[in-house]
Amino acid sequence: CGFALRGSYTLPGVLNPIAVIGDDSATRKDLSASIIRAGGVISDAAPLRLHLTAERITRQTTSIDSRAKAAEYTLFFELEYQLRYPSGLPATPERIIRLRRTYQFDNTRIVGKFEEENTLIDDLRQQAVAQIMTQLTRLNADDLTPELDTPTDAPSAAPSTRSAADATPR
Amino acid sequence: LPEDAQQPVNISADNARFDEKTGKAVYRGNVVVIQGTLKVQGDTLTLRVDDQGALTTARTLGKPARYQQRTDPAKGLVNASADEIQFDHRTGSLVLIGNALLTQDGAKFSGPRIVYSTEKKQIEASGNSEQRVQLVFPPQARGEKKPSKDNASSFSETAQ
Amino acid sequence: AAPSSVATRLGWLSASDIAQLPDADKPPMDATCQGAWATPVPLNTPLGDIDVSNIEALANSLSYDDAGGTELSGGVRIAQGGRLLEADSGSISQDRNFGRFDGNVRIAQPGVLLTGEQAVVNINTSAGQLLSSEFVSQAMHAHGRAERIRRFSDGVLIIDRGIYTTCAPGSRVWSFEAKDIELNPNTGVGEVYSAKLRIHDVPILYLPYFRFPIDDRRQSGLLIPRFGNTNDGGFDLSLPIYLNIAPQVDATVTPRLLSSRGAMLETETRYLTKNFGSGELQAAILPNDQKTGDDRKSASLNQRADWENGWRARTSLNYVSDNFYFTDLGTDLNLANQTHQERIGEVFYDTPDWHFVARAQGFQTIDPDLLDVDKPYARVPQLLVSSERDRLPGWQRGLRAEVARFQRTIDDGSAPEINGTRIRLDPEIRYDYSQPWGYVRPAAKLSHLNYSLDGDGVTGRDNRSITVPTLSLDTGLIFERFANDGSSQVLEPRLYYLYAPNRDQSQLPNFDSAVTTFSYDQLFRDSRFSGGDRIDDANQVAVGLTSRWLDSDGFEHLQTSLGQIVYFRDRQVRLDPFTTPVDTSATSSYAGNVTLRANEETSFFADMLMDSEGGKLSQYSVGASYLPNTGDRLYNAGYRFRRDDPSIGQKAVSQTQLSFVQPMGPNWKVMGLWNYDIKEKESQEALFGVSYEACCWQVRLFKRSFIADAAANNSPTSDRSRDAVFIEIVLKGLAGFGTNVDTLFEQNVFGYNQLEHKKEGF
Repeated sequence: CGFALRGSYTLPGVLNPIAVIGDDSATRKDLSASIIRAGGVISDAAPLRLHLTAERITRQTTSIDSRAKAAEYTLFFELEYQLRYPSGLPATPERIIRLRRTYQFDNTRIVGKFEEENTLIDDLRQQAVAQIMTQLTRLNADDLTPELDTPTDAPSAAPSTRSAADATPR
Repeated sequence: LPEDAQQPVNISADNARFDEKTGKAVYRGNVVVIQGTLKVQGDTLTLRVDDQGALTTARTLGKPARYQQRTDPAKGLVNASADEIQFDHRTGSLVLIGNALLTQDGAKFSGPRIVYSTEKKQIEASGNSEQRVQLVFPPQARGEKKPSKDNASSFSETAQ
Repeated sequence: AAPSSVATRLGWLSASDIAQLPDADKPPMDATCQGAWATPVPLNTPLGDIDVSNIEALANSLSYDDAGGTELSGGVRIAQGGRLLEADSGSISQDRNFGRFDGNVRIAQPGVLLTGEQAVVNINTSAGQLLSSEFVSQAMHAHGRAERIRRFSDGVLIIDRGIYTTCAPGSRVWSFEAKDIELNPNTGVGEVYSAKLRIHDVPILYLPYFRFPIDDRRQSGLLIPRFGNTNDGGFDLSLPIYLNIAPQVDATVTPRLLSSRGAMLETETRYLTKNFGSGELQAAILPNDQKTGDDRKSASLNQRADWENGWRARTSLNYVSDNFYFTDLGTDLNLANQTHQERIGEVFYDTPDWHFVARAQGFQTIDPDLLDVDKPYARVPQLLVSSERDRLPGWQRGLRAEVARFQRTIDDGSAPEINGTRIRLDPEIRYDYSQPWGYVRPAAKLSHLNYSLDGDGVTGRDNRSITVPTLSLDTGLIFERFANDGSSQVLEPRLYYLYAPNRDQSQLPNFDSAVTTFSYDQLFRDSRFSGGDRIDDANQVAVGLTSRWLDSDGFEHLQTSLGQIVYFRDRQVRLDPFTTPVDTSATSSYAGNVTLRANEETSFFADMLMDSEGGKLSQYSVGASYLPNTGDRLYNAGYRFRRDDPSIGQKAVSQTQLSFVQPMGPNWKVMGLWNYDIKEKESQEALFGVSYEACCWQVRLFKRSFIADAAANNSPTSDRSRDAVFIEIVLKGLAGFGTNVDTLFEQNVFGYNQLEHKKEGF
């Protein structure tokens, strides 16, 4: 029926090497590990940078027991990312990954239940990172908006070194 | 420089004509005048001398005519260019007419008419209906920067 | 000529003017204002670095004197890297530092315009002073005039004896006149000293000091009075007052009157210490509540410190005087259905490879129905060391080591009192072999659990310990099929084998553990408990299949997962062996979930559990949400069904959830939230709001009814369901966030915090 074991799952040349920048160290570490696992290279001097621009974890009461006490919480995990040049100019539009998981609460075991929340957050982070990886592997060089020389009189900070493989028109 | 006036004057041109009666000398064709740090270039140069043979005015035309001199030992060269450069030896003032441009130490003056007095180091520039006067000067050299946290009210007294 | 109006002088463009502009030059326009400020230097112009960009001066005539400086006259215009200055005439000092300008002076920067009759400016730092001036700030939607405006080199503006408003010119609904207005773009805070607030030029309020946000940083500013009526508290009026105690300390004091309970005082103090981080202290007191006859008090202290060298600390101490404090006096549902008040102090030390935590945690239980045996233990203290878990390929070692002292007093005899110290060690070794087509991840863990117990509930062996090895093997394959338009379908079968021998744990106490919710993700976890009091016995294999449909950009449109655990042995270890029977079923229920995303705005979620025999759904939930990028509206709907199933601690539930924000034209907006319990046939939370938003003010009217407290022995002073109507008047740009409805919506409506109007403050 046409299915075959997946042959390659690597980042395109233009994203190799790549820098990963984000405030939250856990997401940054997990994404870097996934990139390394897919054969990519992480380096801060890379010509393209993946910015984890926003991460929001919100907990909402999604169902209440007959005594108006929380019976279930839903965790919403939202992760926004964007590829940018070192000068800060965007190379791709900002994209968002939204995930949610519900867990049942038990107000006689609240400490244990909040521990469960940490496990859920870690799972959601893995799944969000996996989706970013899938989108990165499908990127090709001409999806990137070329880095136009900004008309400011100050030259862009680091003269970006272009690897031969990169066909981005200057 | 002030001692330029004592230097020998060397004028070269394609051809020259001197009219004793009117005390007027006209040089034509890539005229170059050099006297100490003074250097003037242009297409035609008209010199007038008074009856004792001392230079009164010099008028250079060119596309553009150029002037260069070090008027202040502490400062860089003064460079100027314009369609017509008039030099009045008696007042020591230089008048640039038509696309006048004068630069010194990075400060650039431009406009239809600029008057520059070499002794008093003053520049008067005036615009007309089509073209206004422009002055461009580089940002303050880093060394001489005032302490950054200056207070607006305190300095307003000093500037009055 | 007709006297030029403020609009023409300061560059106000009406909606029709803006419509004619080419798109690139259109200034951002707030639909409710029917116009916008267009400053000479557009808001998004990059500010050139003063030290790098040249200064360009234009004039009709100019005279430059080496000793005296430069005089310019006739249409003077000076520009430098995104800064602009125009005047009739001006002079620049000899050292080119200061300039003095007269006649129709206009100073412009990105999004800012200052005009005046006479100005003195430091050319290098563009600090300066303007007399009899008018000003416009595009970012703040604000304009006004002043006798003097001073601008400092760090961008701070001080407006002396000025008038400030965010209304459109010519329709000044509100404005305030103040001796001193300070706008600090670095902190995003505007501060006003001795101000008169005017509505339609009629002074209505004198305020010695207040502050307000001048950019979209979420800060609370002057909170306009909120008044309403609740069936429980009667007329409810609160009047927030701001106190700027010190540069690092500010406070909001809010006297609040509840007609059927009395007068109460709520305070919130925010402080910044030099080297112990920042925090907030909230305290409230309602002396002699007329309904209950006693004082109602609440207090909470939250402080966070980050010393950058890996050391961090956090403390959160919360207290309420009685169980029904939130249900009676709180206005936010999420607070109302809290059952505990946490008290915690924790210190973290993080290094790249190891994380150390020392914490003391306890709780005040405010749910009257919880017996002592159901109340949480206090951890006084807990010491935790854990290795950094990096998910890199190859060998990985991990360790989690914890020692904690647990303490809980039992007064109501609901169970014998057992306290003690618990040591738990979890050394683990893993190997990660991953390839594009799949992965194999074996792992082995040797968990050690040791208790030394005391308390009257302990008989005989008061020292217990067990050591249990746990082996797991996580394997998965990834199949892919591409369609010719570049989209692809992915099939990910996954197999997870878990083995751990059974060690009798029926005598072990339960200090901090709970049963985790059974779901698809839970199939592949190595424990069915959270917390540290149990080590699973297991001999099982979990089988799961995930299928994804991706478009050519890799955007996941559809993800469906379904899986089940096959048990080769009964599960003996339970949290409470006396009440829950041994689980002897041969297989778990089927667990699955579905995520369908038409695009980034529209999504549908579902998860479900189905009994292995008979295919009966023991629980399912569905949810849909539409969150358009325009950011002005949202729609959410959800339904949740749970069958009663004590074996997994599941209570019957059948509840729907609806929420929406619907704009009606540029000014009107309708918002609603409705949670209905089908089983109990009652609505738990119903809120309907209408808001009218003009250019610089907004009024919102809300009707809310919610279940406050349904305690079995109903509290004598508060009835079960509450009705509240309240009105909020907001002066846009003056009063910041923090209206209770925003927090209520934010915590109950998915996507509310991303609505566009949140970004500009209103």
